[in-house]
Amino acid sequence: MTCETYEEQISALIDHELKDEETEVLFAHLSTCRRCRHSLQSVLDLRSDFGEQVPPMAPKELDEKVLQSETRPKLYAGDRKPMTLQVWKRRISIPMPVAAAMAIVLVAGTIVLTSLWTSPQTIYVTTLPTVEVRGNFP
Amino acid sequence: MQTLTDEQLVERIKVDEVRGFAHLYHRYKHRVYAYCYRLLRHPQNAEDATQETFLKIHRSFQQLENPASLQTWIFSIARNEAFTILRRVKPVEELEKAENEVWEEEGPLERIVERERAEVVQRCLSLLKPAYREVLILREYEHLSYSEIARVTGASESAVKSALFKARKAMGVKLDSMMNERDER
Repeated sequence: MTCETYEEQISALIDHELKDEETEVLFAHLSTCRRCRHSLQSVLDLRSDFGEQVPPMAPKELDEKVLQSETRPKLYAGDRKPMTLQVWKRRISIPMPVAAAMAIVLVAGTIVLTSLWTSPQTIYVTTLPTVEVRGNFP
Repeated sequence: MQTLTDEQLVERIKVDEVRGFAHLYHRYKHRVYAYCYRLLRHPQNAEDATQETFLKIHRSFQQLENPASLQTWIFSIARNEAFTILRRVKPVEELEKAENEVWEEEGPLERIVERERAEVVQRCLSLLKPAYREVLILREYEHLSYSEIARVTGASESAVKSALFKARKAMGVKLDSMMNERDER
């Protein structure tokens, strides 16, 4: 084997991708070859250089773009039954002015009905004048 | 929740799509962004590629056959997105010509001006051809095995081994010359 081949194995060695028997042969060669020992040192230096790099971080704005995307289709839309709610559990969206008007009518109606129900009733008592009737009656 | 394995996370997404997907996103967002950034060397392009990657993951989640290979599946999608942008920036012929060439052409703006070794290493990496750059990134930063890198890139394991060797050798030589150049200034 040439030093070029051993150098390729050195690269695999530091990645823990070398078989045991290949590792043995490589170490035997390293003990006698200065050039390959230099290659090993160089590859190890490079690895430590990479280790010192600070990884770039994803910007915060990305969270919103990915997670808040309203156009995102459902993952299992095809598999699942469409979600249906019973009628009395459904939510209905009503515009705010309509909802306000309904609330006013409801409150006003309640007040009117309550006042009609509970207001004291006036009893008019009419006293008729006594009329004296004279005469002969059969 | 943090201790979920990738397989458990896939199951979680099937049960609770919204929370499960958010968990997946938070677990992988920095890694995917860093991978795209190192490949593309451009923050906005990296952000676009990352966004597209996660939207594609969401859209095609049912196509994930093996939950254990979630990580390589995500990186293969990110790779496709990054290379789509790379092709937009540079034509295909330029990316694929001279298969044996390790370095990309160095423009006047790409000349080394940095002083710190870390910056020199980063610049040196960015000058590698994408095919070599990506295997080095996946190995050194993402700690993927040769078989995982092969799955992400669609290459054979021996091709990955060879590309890593060539990339490291070229990086070593280039770094030495750059550092010497810097020391002489």
